[in-house]
Order: sequence, then C-alpha cells, then structure tokens
Amino acid sequence: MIADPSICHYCKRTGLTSQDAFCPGCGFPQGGTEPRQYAFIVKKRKLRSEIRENENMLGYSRYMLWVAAGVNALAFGGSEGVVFASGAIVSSAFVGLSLWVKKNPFAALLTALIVYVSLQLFLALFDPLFILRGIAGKVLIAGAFAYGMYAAKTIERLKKQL
Amino acid sequence: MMTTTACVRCGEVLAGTDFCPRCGKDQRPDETKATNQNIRSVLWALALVIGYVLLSNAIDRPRSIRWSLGWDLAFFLLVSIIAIVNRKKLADALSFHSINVGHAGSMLATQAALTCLVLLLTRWLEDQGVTFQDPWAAYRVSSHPYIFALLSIAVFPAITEELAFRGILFAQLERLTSREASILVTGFLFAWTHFSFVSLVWLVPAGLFFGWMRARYRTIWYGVLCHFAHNATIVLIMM
Repeated sequence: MIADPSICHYCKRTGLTSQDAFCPGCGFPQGGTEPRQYAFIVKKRKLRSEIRENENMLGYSRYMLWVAAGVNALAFGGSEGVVFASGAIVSSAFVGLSLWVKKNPFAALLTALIVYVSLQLFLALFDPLFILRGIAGKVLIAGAFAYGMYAAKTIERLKKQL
Repeated sequence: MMTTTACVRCGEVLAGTDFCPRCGKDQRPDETKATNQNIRSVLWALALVIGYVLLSNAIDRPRSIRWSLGWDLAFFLLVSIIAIVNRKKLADALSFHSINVGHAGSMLATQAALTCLVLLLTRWLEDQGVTFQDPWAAYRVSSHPYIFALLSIAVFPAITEELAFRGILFAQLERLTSREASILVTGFLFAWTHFSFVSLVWLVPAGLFFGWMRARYRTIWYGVLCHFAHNATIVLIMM
C-alpha cells in the first residue's frame, strides 16, 4: 500500500524515518497494519462528513436570519415614523448579520441570538402576551441561532482534527 | 532553537510535532471544555446586562432619584464583583499603565465635540417629529440636579457599561473569536442594549470606537473617559 515509507501516505509529509510508527504531522499509522491505516482514513472521512453536516446547519441558521428580518419587516411595515424606522433598522441588522455569518459565524450568530431574544423580551414589556404569539416560530428562530453557534464552534474543532 | 517536549501518553521526546511518532497520540491541547466554559460566561454576562436593562425599563425608575441612584449603584456593585472574580483575566483591561494624559485630554475634547454633533442630529430629528424620552424631569426638581444627573447618567453608566462590555465581555469574547469580531460584537450589543433603535445610528459608531480603543490600548479607561465625556456633555447641555 505504501510506496515510499519516508512520505506520509495520508498528508504527504516528508522525512519520516523507519522508527516512526505514526506520522508526526497527522497521526497516520505509517508503520501500522493495513486495517489500521484504513480505519484512520475512514475516521478522517467521517470528520469531513460531520463538518459538512455542521456547515449545512450554519446555512440553515443563515436562512433563519433572513426569516427574522422578513418577519420583523412585516410586523413593522405597516407603521409610520419612528416605529417604521426602528423596524427598518432592526431588519437591516439581521440582514447585515446574515452576511457576516459567512465570515465569522460564531460572532454573527451570538449577536443575532442576543438581539432576537432581547427584542422579544423588550416588546413583551409593553404587551406580555406578545411573547406567546407565534411562540413556535420564535423558539425555532432562537434555536437555529443557538445551534448555529454550536455548529460554528464544532466546525472549528473538527477542522483542527483533520 | 527547536523546543522539545515529552509525549503526554508514552513519554517519547518530541521535537514540536502535533502527533507522537511512537504511539500516535495527538499532542494538541483539547480546548473544547475551555471554549464551552467561555461561551457560558459570555451568555451569562449578556443575560445579566440585558436583564438589568429590561428591569430598568420595567420599573419606570425616573420617578425617584434615590431609587434611581440605588439601582445604578446595585448594578455597579454587581459588575464590580464579577470583575473582581475575573481580575486575572481583566488585569490588562483594568490597568492604568498605558494611560497617557495627553491622549486622554484630546480624546475627552474630541468626544465632547462629537457629542455636540449628536445633539444637533437629535434636535433635527425632533424637528422631523421624532420624540425622545425626557430623563431629566426627576433631576430638575431634585435638591442637586446636576450632581444627581451627572452621577446617575454620566459617572455610573460610564464605569459600569465599559466594565461590562469592554471589560468582562470583551475579554471573554477575545478567547472565542478574533479581536475585530470582539470589537464588532461588543460595539453593536452595547448600542443595542440601550433599546433606543433610532439612537443606534450614533450608538453603534460610539460602541465600535470604544471597542477599538480597548483593543488598541489594552485598557478600558480611555473608553470610560470618552463615555463619561459623552454622557456628561449631554447632561450639561440638556439640563
């Protein structure tokens, strides 16, 4: 299976010696049995697959930011003056955060979660029943942001393990 | 010179490699636990600030100066206790070593000038029909209006908000994400937690500026000074 023992079969690191049972760069069992080497490669494939799943979750969270912006725009769209301006600013904030998710998903989704939850609580000060209206959708949106934060950190961790 | 370490599992001497060539053990530190701990700390810090702001809105505090000052003092003490508990992490941020009197003076003057521009903008917005809260009513009828208003609006918020956002929150966020992202998150959430959505127009730049100063000079005290200058200028002009 391995043509040149001085080059890691998995990461192509050079300079491995005959005493190196494992690659010092990636941990590949260069001197191990074929099933062990195969298991290593399968493990790395699983990691890649997990990363893809978490990236899909991030995409879903990003989509939820657009939903939050849209719902907010619908809620404030019929109003006038300051209330309309406030609604427009909040919707723009969600749109801005959805763009930022691509660059820094954890920071963007943390901000989105805090903004969304605190806005619901703030509006509930004026009308306590507000919190119950569309509660399932609100939980879904907040949950998507929270899970997106978790997914962002998981991706960082898994990428280090690759 | 290359540093050598011993494998955490088999004791093999390693020349700075990520994996042990003898047993294959990953030598990189597992930061998952520390990361989760930091995320929890950030969420608790934010929950505390938002809880305080929402309660402040709920209890209609301008009715009594004594109640208002007591409320400010309680939050100040709470944030201070959290800062004392985290004093090792905040050692840089609370240090006065990087303070330069010349810098501080020019920042104070610049901030006061910028605040005057903000006041002109609010005056223009009022002319357009936008109404802002009048937080001065209770202070005007008190025995020492300027002292109470400066304490409650300029001194306590400047110290408490900077300690909470640019101190505790910034330090925790820096461990989780980049410095630029920490500036953006603390700046935006600082503005957001004022729950005055039109004011986001000037509060977001102010929050970003305070965050930039925190990152640039590694101390919260320039931010405290500018924050104080901003709020004090408003008190002195609007009262």
